Amino acid sequence: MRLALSCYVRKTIFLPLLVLVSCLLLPQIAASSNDQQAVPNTPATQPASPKPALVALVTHGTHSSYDACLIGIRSGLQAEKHKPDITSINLKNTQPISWDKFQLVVAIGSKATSEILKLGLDNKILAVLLPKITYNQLVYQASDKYKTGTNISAVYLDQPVGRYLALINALAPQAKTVGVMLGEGASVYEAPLDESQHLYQLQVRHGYVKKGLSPLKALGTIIDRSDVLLALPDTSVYNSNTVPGILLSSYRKGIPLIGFSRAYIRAGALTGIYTLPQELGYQTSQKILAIHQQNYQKLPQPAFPDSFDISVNYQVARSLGFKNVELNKLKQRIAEHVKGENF
Amino acid sequence: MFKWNIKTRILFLSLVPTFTIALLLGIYFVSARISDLQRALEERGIAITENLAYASEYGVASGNAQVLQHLINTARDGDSDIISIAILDEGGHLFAYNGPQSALNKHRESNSLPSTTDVAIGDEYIIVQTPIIGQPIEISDVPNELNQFAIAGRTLGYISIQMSHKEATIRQYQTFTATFFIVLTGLFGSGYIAVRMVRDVTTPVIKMSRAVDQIREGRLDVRVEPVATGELQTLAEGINAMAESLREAREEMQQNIEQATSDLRQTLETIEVQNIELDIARKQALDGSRIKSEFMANMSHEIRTPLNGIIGFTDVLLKNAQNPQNIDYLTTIRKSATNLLTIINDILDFSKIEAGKMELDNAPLSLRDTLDEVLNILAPASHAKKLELVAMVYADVPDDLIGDALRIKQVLTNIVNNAIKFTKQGSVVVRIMMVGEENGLVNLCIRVTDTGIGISDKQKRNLFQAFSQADTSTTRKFGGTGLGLVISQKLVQGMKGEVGVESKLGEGSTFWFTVKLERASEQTPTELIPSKISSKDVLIIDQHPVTLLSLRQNIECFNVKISECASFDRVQHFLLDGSKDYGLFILGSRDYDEEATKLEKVMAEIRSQFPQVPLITLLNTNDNQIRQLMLDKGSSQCLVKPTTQKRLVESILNSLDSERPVTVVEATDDEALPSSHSESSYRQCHVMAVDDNDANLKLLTIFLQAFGLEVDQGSNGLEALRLAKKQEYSMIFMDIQMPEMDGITAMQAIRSNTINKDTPIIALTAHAMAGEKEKLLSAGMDDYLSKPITEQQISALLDKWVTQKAISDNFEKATKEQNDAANAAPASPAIPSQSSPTASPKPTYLNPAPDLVDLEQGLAQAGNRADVAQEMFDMLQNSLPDARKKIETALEIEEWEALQSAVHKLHGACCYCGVPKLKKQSNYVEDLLKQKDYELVPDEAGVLLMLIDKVENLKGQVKYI
Repeated sequence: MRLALSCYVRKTIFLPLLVLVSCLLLPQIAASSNDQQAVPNTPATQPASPKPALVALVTHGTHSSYDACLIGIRSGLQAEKHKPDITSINLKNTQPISWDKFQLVVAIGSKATSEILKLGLDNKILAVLLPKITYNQLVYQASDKYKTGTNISAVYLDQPVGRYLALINALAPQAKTVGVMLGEGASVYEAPLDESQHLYQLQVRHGYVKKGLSPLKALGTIIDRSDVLLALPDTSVYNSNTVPGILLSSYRKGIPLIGFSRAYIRAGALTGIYTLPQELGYQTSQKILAIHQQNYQKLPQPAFPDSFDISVNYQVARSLGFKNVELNKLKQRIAEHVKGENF
Repeated sequence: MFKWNIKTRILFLSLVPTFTIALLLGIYFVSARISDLQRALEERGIAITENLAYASEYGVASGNAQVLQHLINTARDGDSDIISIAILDEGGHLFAYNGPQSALNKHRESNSLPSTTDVAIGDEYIIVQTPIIGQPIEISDVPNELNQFAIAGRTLGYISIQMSHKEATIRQYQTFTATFFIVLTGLFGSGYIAVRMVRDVTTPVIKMSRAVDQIREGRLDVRVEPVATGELQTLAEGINAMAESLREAREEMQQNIEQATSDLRQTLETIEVQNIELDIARKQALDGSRIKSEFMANMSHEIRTPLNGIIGFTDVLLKNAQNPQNIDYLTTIRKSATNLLTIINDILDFSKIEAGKMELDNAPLSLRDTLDEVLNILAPASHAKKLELVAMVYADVPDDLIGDALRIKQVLTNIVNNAIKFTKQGSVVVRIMMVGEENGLVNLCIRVTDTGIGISDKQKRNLFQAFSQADTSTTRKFGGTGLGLVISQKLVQGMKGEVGVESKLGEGSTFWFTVKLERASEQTPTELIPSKISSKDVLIIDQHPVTLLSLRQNIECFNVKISECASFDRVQHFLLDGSKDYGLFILGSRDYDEEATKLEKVMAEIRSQFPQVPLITLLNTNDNQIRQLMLDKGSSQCLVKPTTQKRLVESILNSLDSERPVTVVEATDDEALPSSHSESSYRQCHVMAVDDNDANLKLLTIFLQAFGLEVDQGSNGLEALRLAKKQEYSMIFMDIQMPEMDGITAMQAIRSNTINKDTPIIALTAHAMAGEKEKLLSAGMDDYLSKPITEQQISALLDKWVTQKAISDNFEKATKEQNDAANAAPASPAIPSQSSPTASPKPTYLNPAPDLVDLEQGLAQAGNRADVAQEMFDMLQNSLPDARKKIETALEIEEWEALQSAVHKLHGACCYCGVPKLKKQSNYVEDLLKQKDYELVPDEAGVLLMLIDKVENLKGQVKYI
């Protein structure tokens, strides 16, 4: 009887109290957590005699590639003594920000870059982790003040065209023709392709995809005349909807498809050349340091990734009859080919 | 519940649930299967469509109609259910098609172009349509939110498949048919199993039932075949065990029966021997009895004949005797002879009763008259002893009854006579009362109370023993044979009654007996007293209280006022009572010698005051002088005690009728002789007397001559016949037993061949056996007269048969009573003497076949009685045809038991007939049959039949006598 009474008292008195305390404390805990994320790494309240430079690392939303890129940036800045304070900003979550305090705004990803450009900031802007063709289209669509190239620069995600061809050369030395479909941004690739094909003794077959039409039709025009099919990061041609058809067509024709990302290789491309976001972040950190050292007065020219990586879809390789593909040798040969290039 | 047999029950239990379950399952599975098939068709259509949608994604996306055509061709070729396949682009235009042109429109008709897979079900087909959706593949390592071309799940076109129901329907029918046949097979299977099971159960049961029936019919060797298992087998074994037990029990019982039969047969043989011996003994006893009866009859005849003479001639002498001493001697002789006759009658009665030959008459009788007669006869004796003899018949006693008046009178006489005999003084009261009535029989009790010496309890025990009296000295003192009460007891028992006595030594006795008598249908009207005295006062004066009561009872039913005066001294008191209007005085005297003075005084008082009122006096004496004196003194009528109602009423009527002469009504004295009545009455008559005994003939002649008749005498039948031819007689007295020609033959001859055809012929016989009278009357005699003959008897007969006019009433009455009294005792039947010789005559043998019949042996076996031996032999011969027939029949059909029975019977019959050969052969055949040695039986039975024939042929030739 006594035990039952005590249980009843515990249930009727302590449980409501516990719930009440929890409700009061939880919002405060959440607020502190948000502050840590939103507030720059260096507390603003900390007194510093020379006001340190402030760099904003801006993303739009979250993605593993963004995180890897941020890690790369931070790791590249970490060892340096003279470095700017950096602040991570997720445009999707934060409240209106006072951008004036940032000497440099690093926009990670095409969406973040697009949003920053839409803001029309006067800050120096460094766009990273976006293909060259996208960068060009954003800048083209942005305010004129960005078109001079003084306030904005980029570190591209995609590789210079020569590296693709080098890869083709290294992978299939017997290949003579390379089919490439070009869409709305065909001009970005046309000239480099023309320049490089001779370098690698390859003949590029262009297939133009008209707006509103399926790229498979264009593919049909070139696939029978190509030994290798090269996919370029032009979303008007190669997007998630067109890729299945392109992959199936190339597979059926037995034409190896060279992709531009790890995802493409996993989707069915024979092989591809790409740079990992973390390495791209590291390259970005080096750019930031350089800008920092120049006191944010001048921005470097947009650049392709310094490093690259290669993957092979061995299943596709076996299907297409490629045997004993060795990645290291491929890397080595590509490295030999691409020395000094900067397309 | 239904009266089903096991077969039906098992079939019902196995088939009905099976059928029901099979039907339900069949319906369920068929419907489920049909549904499944339909669903499977749909699902297959969906699966094909969706797979085709995936497969055709590239073709549609790339617009490669060739690929698509190939795809749908391949898809349709492998499936007969698919009627047609159409691939439409996202605008619903036909991209590729496989199927008949006629079906093409079906796809277009149903092209509502669904966003998801859709199934349209028609009567003969279904159309499944599903969109072809392009599936995006991520190809970039980084998100490219700016890619405007990436549209997830874009519909590229539609796949439409038309599928036929036919196959599904066929498969449904197949399913239905298969299910039907499976159910049918299952049913037949379960039915077959059930029938087998039924057979497994019923066959043993039927076999067991048959076996039990056969066992019940007695075939105990029947066994149930081991066809069953389990419990039925146990049951079958049980039945077999039971049958075995029954068989053993029956065999044991059979043995016991055979043993018992054998024992019984032996016992029967012994009993047969004993029966035959008993039969011989019975015949000897009957012979002895017959001889005794004949002896008794003869003795009776022989004794009665001389007694007849003695009494008759004594009466003749008494008529003529003048010397008082001679009269006294003659009276003594007559009394002694009469006593002797009484004793002989008693002995004859007793012997008749003992022999069971006493036959009681059933005739209308008046009990009061009977009592009156008895008391009249016995009154003188009571008067002589100055005893008050009173008769009291209660009012409810019916008067008209049916019975043997003579025997009632005999019993009553015996008891009242005894009462008078053993009473010195006082009274003897006879009461007759009705005890009850049932089944038409009136139960009457007659009590005779005396104030005599009484009987002790010890004496009572021997009272109804033959030849005994209460005291041996009694016989010496009072006389008598000691047979009276025994005879009375037997007679009363014959009348379904009882006899008893209530008595204490010295305090008197009451002897009582009961009789059961039928009522007579016709009632005699009671004579009524005229209105002259009705409603008037009647004064009864008597000093004896019982007499007073008796008198009152006699008249109280006539609507008169009765006053009783028990003392002469108080008569005056009654006479002076002014309230009385006397119409009659009845004055009784107990003893005139003592009460004469008082009596005369009372009469004088009455006459002085009531000179015209009738006065009836009752006296206890037969003295006519005294009675005449009473009449002279003023008595209207003078009666002798005891008086009865009839006489009293008659007397009253006479008193009231002034024209009637004053009479003295007296009791009849059996001692009284007929007065010398008018001989001239018969003077013109001529009669014939026939008797071979000279004395009797002479006496009869004297008696008849005393009546003034002219008598012709005949000593035998021939003489009678001769006389009858010459003279016409008024009457013929014919003795029966006579030499040369007996009375019957003579009577018949007279009746047939003489002028006396119509003459009354009276039989005379001394045979007093029962039935004698009837025998004689039926032979043609007109009447019957038992010896000894008395004048009274003759007088009555003359009165009856001879026309005469003037015989006085008194004489007639006296004669009649004498005749009745005489008939009471000697009316005994007789055994015809001619048919039964007193000793067997010496045998005279006749034996034509000594080899077959041994007369000596037969005689010895019959106890040396030739007549018995003859009878036995005749019986055997009479039985032979039947025996032979039975033996032949049994032999023919070889029914050995019947043959044994017949031979056994024959053997038994042969044992006492002096036929040794037949006996031996029958014994031999019987032994063979007993030993069941049937082989020899036919031959030996043939020999037996031959012997039977031989003995049968001797019929009438073998004579023992």
